[in-house]
This record gives sequence, structure tokens and C-alpha cells, in this order.
Amino acid sequence: MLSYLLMLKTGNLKKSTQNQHMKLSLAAILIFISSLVNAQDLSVIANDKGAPGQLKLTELQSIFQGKTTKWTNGSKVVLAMMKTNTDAGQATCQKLFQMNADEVKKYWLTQSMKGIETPVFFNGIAELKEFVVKTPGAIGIVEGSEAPAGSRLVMVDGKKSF
Amino acid sequence: MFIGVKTKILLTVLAIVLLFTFFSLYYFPSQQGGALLRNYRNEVQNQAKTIALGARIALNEQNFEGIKTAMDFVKGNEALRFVGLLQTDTIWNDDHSKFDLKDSLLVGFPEIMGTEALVSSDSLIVMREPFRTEIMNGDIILAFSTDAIKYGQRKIWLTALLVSSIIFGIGMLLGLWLSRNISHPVLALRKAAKRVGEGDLSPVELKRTKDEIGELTLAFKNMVADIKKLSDLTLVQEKEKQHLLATQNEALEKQVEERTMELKQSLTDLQAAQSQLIQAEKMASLGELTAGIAHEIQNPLNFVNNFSELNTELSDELLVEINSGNTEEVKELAATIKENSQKITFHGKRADAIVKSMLQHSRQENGKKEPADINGLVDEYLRLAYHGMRSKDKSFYAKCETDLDSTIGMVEMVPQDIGRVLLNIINNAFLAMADKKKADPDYTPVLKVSTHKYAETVEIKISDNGTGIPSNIVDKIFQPFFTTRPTGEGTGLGLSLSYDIITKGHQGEIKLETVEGEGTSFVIFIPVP
Repeated sequence: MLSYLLMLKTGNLKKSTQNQHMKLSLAAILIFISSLVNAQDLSVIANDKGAPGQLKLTELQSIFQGKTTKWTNGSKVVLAMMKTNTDAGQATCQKLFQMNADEVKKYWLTQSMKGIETPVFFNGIAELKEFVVKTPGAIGIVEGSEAPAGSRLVMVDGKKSF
Repeated sequence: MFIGVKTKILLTVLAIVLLFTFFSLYYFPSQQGGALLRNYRNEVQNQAKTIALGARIALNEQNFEGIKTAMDFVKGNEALRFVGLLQTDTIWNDDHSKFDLKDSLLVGFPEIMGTEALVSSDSLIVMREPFRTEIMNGDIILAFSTDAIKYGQRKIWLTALLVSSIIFGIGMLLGLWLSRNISHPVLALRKAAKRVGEGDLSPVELKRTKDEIGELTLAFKNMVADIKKLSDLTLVQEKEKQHLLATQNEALEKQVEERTMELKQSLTDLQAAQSQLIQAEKMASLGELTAGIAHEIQNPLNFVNNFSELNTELSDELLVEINSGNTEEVKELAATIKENSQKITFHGKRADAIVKSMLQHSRQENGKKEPADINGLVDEYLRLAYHGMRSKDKSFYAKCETDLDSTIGMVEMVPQDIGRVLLNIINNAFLAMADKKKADPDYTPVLKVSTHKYAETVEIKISDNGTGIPSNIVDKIFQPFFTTRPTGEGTGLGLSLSYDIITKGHQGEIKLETVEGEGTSFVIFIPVP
């Protein structure tokens, strides 16, 4: 990376190539920063109706990848996620999809075209929490480990956060 | 080529209907089908755009409601054959100098379908709508079946066929109705006009329609009625005229009949008068002849008498000589008596001939043509006329010169009529010369008579050196009853009859040449066969 930046500074690359490489460098920096963010803990909140109290990580992944569409009581699974440009969103992408944000967007685009229910993306935690409280069967990923009233915290692999 | 009004209307309507049928059967379905296809393509394109917009929103905003709704809408369409998302990747070569664009199908519905076969055809409409985002570039590919369009086009065509058939049927019925409604009054009007043209002015029975033809029919009816009135009036006037004409004709015929009777009577009177005049003229000429004839007869009679007396004396001498027995003297006396007897016979015959000629001249009936010696006739009548003139005027003397063509021979003519003509002309010549002699004692009258034969005519020319005829009366001398002689001396018919005898009786010609104070020549031409 340093040698690459050094090459940019010295102007050894062509201009069009420089632009491409500039973009790649920025992306690498972002990934680096996000990896730092991803380190933060995420927790799962769910509406009182629908989601079970405990889930395995694989079950959670299956649910958030749209593979599980109904709860055991037969109610519809409603996914709530922070947008991928937020820290929580990027952490979610990393932990539940093992994909970066763009790949998750593309993933949900293809899923939506197949007719699979897509998550509802939010800009803020408060909005997400409010949505989960108000929507039966809703399940969301948030930072921190506190569930608002009208919802409950779902344990993942027996832990409050993952 | 005669094309009736009915046919013209039918042809016009047929042309319009066919034109309209063509439009409704071919042009309209073609246009509508094309428009339907274009609209359908636009609709597919719009749906592709909606999906692409949904994809952009989904990728940029992470809002998947739009694309979800668009996909639900598209999938709900039975004509959908395929909908898919193509990702376009830029593949650089190793040194980043060139790149290729590669499309890969991210997702498709139905999944089994590949994009290679997605080409627009008659049965398939394929639309691609590109979208660009920071995350990816790609295309929404959408394929729809054209079955619905084809069905729609077929429905349009069937509707057009049905509409065309209805239009054609209605058009033809309308054409027939129109042609019937327009042509019938026109044809009836034509028939009525023909009838009127042929002179039938009886009232015209025509239906009046509420249009221009109806107005024309009314005008025609009024015209026929007016013509009928005028015709009747003219007929009455004509009858009155004919009646008047008939009355006038009757009166005229009566008048004509009366006039004809009068004219017949006049003609009879005239004919009688003419006969009397001709007879008078004949008698006059006979009177003029009488002197000549008397002189002519007197001569032979003198001879007869003288020789008879001489023979009487010689007979006495003969008896004396017989008694005396002087034979020689007897013989000589007998020969002389015989010679005298022969002379008596000769002169007696001559007198006989003169009498016969006189009788022939005075004969009433028109003579028939017969061969005659024209020179002999000329000679005889010249002598008769001269002696006749001399018997009336003892002092008259004229030198008569004849130049007669001996080759003439016998000519077909009526001798007594030609003799009468010659006598008339010669007498007039002697009278003219006698008048001149009275005025000029030193004057010597000379009359020249000549005959000449030509190829087809015989000419008789009688010329005198008398007083001539004044120019103002030259044109009148052949007119009946024209005479310059004192009343009672001439009938005025001599030259008129002479003219008729030559021109009508012998188909000849008579000409006059005269110089006042110097003399006159009459030239007669008689045709010979």
C-alpha cells in the first residue's frame, strides 16, 4: 500500500490508470476502517410476537439472508437492518452475510427480483427500534444490547450480542 | 357510350364504398396494428425502465419497494416470457490498455432461460434498459410475447372486416336507395319531356320530391301547363284562321271559277276573233293576190282566146282550101291549127295551175309538211306579188333580182304557209319602195331575192332599198295587230303570223336587218334534215 501511494506521488502511473488505482486505494482504506468498526458488538431485537427468544448464529444468518421466511408460529418474518453506510449496517454485512456492503445490496437486489421479501433498511437505530416494536414478526440488528419496550432481546448462541 | 344517371350514382357510391372499405379493411387495421405494436413496445420499454429505476433506487437508497412492486407487476403479466438483470463487468487486459464489457446474468425469471435466445421477433418483443450506479452497471432485460398483440391485431382485422362488410352493405343499400330516389324522378321527368317533345301535352303525372329535382318537376309541370295553354290558344287561333282561310278559299274558288268561265268565254271569243282575223288576213292576202292572179290568168286566157279565134279563122280557111282541093295549103293550115291547139292547151293548163295555186292558198286547214321546190315557190310568189302590186298601182315599177341556189332541191315545208310568208314580206317591200318612190321620183326600186343552202338550213333573203323601218318600232313589228298602214288597209297580223309560221311551224328563224331610209332585209332560215 505504501509503495503504491509512493508510486502515485511520484507520478509513475498513467492518468487513467491513476484514477482507477485511486479508487481502489480509497476502497481499501474504507475496508480497513470498516474492519475496525466491525469489531463492535451487535445485538438482535425482535417484536414480542414471532421471533423466538434464542437463536443460533447460523439460524440468524439464515433468517437475515431471506432463507427463513416464517417463524415457528407461522407468522411472517420481517427483517429490519441499518443501512450499509452505517457502522451497524456494515458490521451486519460482515457478520451475517460475510459480504461487503455493495455485495449485500446486490444480493438483496437479486433476491427482490426473485420475489423474496427484502429487509427494511433504516438510517437510525431509533427508527429501526420503533419499527420492530410496531411490526409483528419483525426482527432487527442494532448496536448495543438494550431492547426497547414492546420488544425483546434475542439471544444469539446464548449471548446478548454477537 | 351512354351511361344512365342510375348507373352513375351507383358507380359513384360503389367507388366511395370500395375506397372506404379498402381503408377500413386494409389501411385502418394496418395502421391500428402498427400502433398497437408500437404502444406495446413502448409499454414493455416503460416496464423495463421502471424495473431499472427500481434497481437504481434499491442499490442507491436500499429501498426495494419500487423494484418489488415493478417485478410483481411484470410477473403478473401473462405475456411475460423473461425478465432478468444483467451485470456488465469491465474486463481489462493485463496491462490495462484495453478492456472488454462482459454481460453476466445475475438473476432471471424464469431461471432456466438464457439471454442468448432473447432476440426480438414476430412472436417476441425484447427490450433492454440500462442502469448505472456506483455499485454496478447493467441492464434490465425484458421479453414479452406478442400473442396478445397478434390477438389484438386479429381482433382489429376481424372488426375491420365486420365494419367493412357492414359499411359495404349499408353503402350499397344507400347507393341503391339514392340511385332509385334520384334517378327515378329524373327518368320519369325525361320520359315526360320526351312525351311532351312528341306533342303529347296531356297533364303530367310526376311525384314531387322535396329537393331540387322536385323543384325541377314542379317547374316542368308548370311549363307543360303553360305550353298546353298556349297550344290550345294557338290551336283555336289556327282553327279560326283555317276557317277564315277556307271561307276565303271558297270565295276565291268561286271567283276563280267565275273568272275562269269569263276567261274561257273571252278565250273562245278571242279564238273566234283570231280565226276571223286570220281569215281576214288570208282574204286580204288573197285580195292582194287576186290582181296578180287575174293578170296571170288573163295572159293564158288571152292566148286561149286568140288562138281559138285564130283556129276558127284557120278552120274556115281550111274548109275553103279543102273545097278548092289545094292539098298543100290544107296540110299547112292543119299543122298551124294543131300548133295553135297545142298552145291553147299549154296556156289552159297554165291557167289551171294558177287557179289550183289560188285554191291551195285559200285552203282553211293547216297543211302538212311535204317536199316542195323552194326556188319555184319564191319565183311564183314574187311574180304574184309584183303583178298584184302593179294591178293596184299601174305606175309602180321595181327591178326584181333573183339569186336562187339551184342545189337546194326539195325541202320539207308547208308550201302554202311559206308562200304566205313570202307574199307578206315581198308585199311589204313593194309598199315601202312605192312610198319611197313617191317621195323621190329619181329613185329606182330594187328588190333582191336570194336563196342559199347551208349544211343544216336553207336561207331565203328578201332585201329592198325602200324606206327602211324606224328604230323605235323595230321591236314591235312582229307583234300581233301592229301596223303602220292606215286603218282598214292592214290587219297587223301579217308579220306576226309569218313569225309564228317560221318559228313554231317550221322550227326556223326569221331575222330583220334594217336601216331607216336605206332599206330592209328579211332573212328566213328553214332547217333541213
